[in-house]
Amino acid sequence: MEELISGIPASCGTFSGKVRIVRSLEEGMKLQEGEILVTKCTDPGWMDLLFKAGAVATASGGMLSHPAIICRELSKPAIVGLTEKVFELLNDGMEVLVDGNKGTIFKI
Amino acid sequence: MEIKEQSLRFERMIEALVKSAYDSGKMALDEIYPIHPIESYPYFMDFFIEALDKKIKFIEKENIKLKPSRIWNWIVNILLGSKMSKVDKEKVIYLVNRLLDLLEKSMEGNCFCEDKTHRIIKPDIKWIKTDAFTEKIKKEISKLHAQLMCYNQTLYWVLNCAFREIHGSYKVMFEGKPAQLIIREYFNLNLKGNKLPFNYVKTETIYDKDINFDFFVLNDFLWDKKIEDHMLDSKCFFDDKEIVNFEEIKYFSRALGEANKQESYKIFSLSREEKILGLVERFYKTLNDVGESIDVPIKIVKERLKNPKLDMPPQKLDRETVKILFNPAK
Repeated sequence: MEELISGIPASCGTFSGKVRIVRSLEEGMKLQEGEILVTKCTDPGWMDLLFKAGAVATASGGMLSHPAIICRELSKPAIVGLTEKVFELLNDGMEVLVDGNKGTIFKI
Repeated sequence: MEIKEQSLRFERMIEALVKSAYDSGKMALDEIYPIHPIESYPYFMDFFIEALDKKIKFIEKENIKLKPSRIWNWIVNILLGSKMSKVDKEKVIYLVNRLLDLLEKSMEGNCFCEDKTHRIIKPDIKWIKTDAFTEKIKKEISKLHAQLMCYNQTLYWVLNCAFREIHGSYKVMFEGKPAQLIIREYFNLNLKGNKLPFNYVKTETIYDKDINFDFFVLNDFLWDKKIEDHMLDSKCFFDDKEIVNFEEIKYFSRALGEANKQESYKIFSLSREEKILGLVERFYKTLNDVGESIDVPIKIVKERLKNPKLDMPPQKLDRETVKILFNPAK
């Protein structure tokens, strides 16, 4: 597996699936059940999307940011603080593995 | 208290705040949902500090035991806010000392969470197993915890920790084996016309000893494993009534989800001024649970909002700056 990018391991566990880039809440309609939500950050308005996602990867945020806290409660893998580079490296539909233990995203 | 003792207590407080607010990544952000508190301080913090002083006197006189997270919320905001609204340093030192005294009275464990726990009660160490607890309920409890955390943030913004108290971990025995208890409490769940069928929720959840919890001041905590895999049992109380039925827990969890959607939708359309006024109102809400109600200085805030010199754009802060901001003596 090719290592793509690393950030802060915010919620442990691993998950493989398809990437879905969501840049705004409106774009969230595109997210399918079990896809990997890739976004800048989330706030309480994004709750339904966090429930739907198989894993979450965000460009900003720390261990106590919204996506990190919620994903930990839901036992869902999450990596935060990946920087804007995550949008250059990941594309919609790309098959990746989110390793929430290491904080790394791998291309499958 | 002697100066040396006071200085040592401040050092411990600063370390605890830096760990909770900066090392966690919280203050490294230039965006805080839905508005950075730094933006609001110049418009009201001088008045708030006077109001808090009066409230503390009342609390001390009546010997009221407060929830520690409410006290931490006041401490962190007066430390930051006083530096951005030119409040006298001596006054801040005096207030922080009194708040730390109140904090010591409100805790059973280490006040600064230096042992990674946040213990405020002495629980029964023998836990009676819930008959109805199943894998299905375990999933729903996790969702409920997520919904509560989220709704608390939607409702009280950056002041969320003033309206919840998550405490533990407490050592307990579960089915003859050592285990851990975490208690999550959420207060004042109805604000300004929200109509949830409950105003207070408490969950008491048992985890095995293999998961490690790390509590911070300002009522946040981390853990190192998949929390659901280590959950052994849970009891849910809505307005102090224990709910054991799965469908009922699910119904209440959905109600929180719906309330969260409605509230986030309202926030989405607020202007900057409305957000500042909303945050000031929430600050005063933290004062008005006990004793006489103190009026929100709405007129003054509105007048000050017209002054562009008071605009304080949110900014990324480095660790050293944050340490200075948290130091009442600097």
